[in-house]
Amino acid sequence: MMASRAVVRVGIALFLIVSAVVIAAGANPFSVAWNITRTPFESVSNFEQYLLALTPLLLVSCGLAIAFRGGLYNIGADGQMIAGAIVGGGVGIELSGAPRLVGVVAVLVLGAVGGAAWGALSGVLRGRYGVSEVLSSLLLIFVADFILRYLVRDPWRDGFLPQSARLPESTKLPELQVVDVHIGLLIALAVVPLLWLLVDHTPFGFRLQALGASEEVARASGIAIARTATVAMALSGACAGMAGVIQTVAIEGRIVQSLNSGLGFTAIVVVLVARMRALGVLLASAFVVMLTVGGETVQRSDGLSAFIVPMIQAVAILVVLVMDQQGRS
Amino acid sequence: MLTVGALGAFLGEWYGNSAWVGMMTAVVAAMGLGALHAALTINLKLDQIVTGIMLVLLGVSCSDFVYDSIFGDAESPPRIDGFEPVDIPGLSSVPAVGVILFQQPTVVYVALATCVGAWWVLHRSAIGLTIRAAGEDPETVAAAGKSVAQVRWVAVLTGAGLAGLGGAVLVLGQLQLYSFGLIAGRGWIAIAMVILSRWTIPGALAGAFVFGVADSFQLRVQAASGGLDSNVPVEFFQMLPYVTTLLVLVVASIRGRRSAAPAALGVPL
Repeated sequence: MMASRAVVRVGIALFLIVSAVVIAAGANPFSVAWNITRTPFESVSNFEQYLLALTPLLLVSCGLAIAFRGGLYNIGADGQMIAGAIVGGGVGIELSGAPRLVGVVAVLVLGAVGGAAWGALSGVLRGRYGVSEVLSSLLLIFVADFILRYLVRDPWRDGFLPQSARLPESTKLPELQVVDVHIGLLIALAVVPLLWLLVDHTPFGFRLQALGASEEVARASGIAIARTATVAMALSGACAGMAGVIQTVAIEGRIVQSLNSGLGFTAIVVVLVARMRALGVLLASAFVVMLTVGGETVQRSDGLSAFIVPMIQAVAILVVLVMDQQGRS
Repeated sequence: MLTVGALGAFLGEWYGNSAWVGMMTAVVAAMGLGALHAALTINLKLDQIVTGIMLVLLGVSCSDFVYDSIFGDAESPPRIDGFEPVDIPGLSSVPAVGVILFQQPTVVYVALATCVGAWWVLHRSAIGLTIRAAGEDPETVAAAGKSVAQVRWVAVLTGAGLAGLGGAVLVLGQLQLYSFGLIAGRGWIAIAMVILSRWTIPGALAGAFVFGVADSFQLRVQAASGGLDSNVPVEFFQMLPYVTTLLVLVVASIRGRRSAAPAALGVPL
């Protein structure tokens, strides 16, 4: 009951603030809200687009939720996505002779491993040496991005554009039968309950939450800080890495240089709005992707800049944060 | 805040027709965002890291939205290069004595003067003493009859204003246009600098200097080693400033296990 009231209040506050901006920009807020909401459900292909866009965001957000629960502000998910795409995609190119099952599994697992390694680097630095994970994970985005640019510009380049050769058929993700969406969606949806199980119902989750509550207390109670931080960041990076390789294999079909998409920052929005809870992550991702997909419609039909979307997201976190605090005091 | 400052500078310049107006609007715009940060963290006592991340998203998205709403349907949308010939007055170099020392945009000197000024305020004035005390031991400040909230408000607003100035430097001094994502993580790097410098101003100057050197070094070396044809990939050099910052950060963290951070950093009172 409390939770649903809070959602309603957040919704109203959000609508009022955004309406003010929309009116200031010379558009009708009701028309904007309606256009955003109806877009994903307008046609089957729109809905498929919606699900395709939901998949990576949901995966990355679940990953971030793990780290955030441990008080580890992983803002470098974009770097971990790139690392996943490089490792998974790089090996994937060589797998043309493999059976499809082997190819698909190998690509997904290697993507997760790549992302995990990149995330774990920040985790080790934080856990062992106390280097802020906010800074290291952010700096590592740039490092990963430049490595990717180099690889697709020179050694892996195929053709005129800076991109790799097509990934072989054996790595192509199977499509779901009902809608025209690849199985990545199922993987992302499966991670949501796993997140809940892991964080709320395992010894590791307990250590993680203790670390998130207070590093001092966690250390005093004999929790291995460095190991917990490293594992959490590795898991976080694994989700991002898998999202990265899924985008590479299923959407692009080759390794492209424009993987640094800011998705990791959108996922921060999702996780904070969801207060790092698994079910909340699912709902918030669904909402944010609706905004993103609907934002393009709004640009056409209401003449508003599509940049309204990230702004709504930022305002949403603001509203949730303030209400949270109000609720506590 | 840097992005907001950059946009503020661009708009101020665009409408006010002077780089100085641009600088003012940049500072005011960034301080507006700073005020929000101060209200949330000091008065409402929200988590500072979370609020900070949120403000980055808010600042960047608002700036992009406003820019796109105003200039989005210009002659050559959505490419930004169309605005490049914005001729910014006040940018013309200070009379040259030495190319490096004196042929810099005015803003560079403003930045250096700011360092000296900030050091003086922090270490040689009563306000500075109070600010440092509010960071180390807020209870004492409260006991001395001063309002910690007030002190922190002043500090946050000043910091925001300076960040706005930083954005203005980038727009007015270097790029002469606004573009999406122009800040490229510089605010985060600045935080790294402050940690590296062990919360001192000469240290911050040195840190910024190292990043700047790494950044311009990579451009020179890139050119000197034959650009795209060289054996060492260009991307390696472009990566340098970020790798350097990370390495220095790690080294500093290992050496100074006891952090020099103000004891009450991030703690609400």
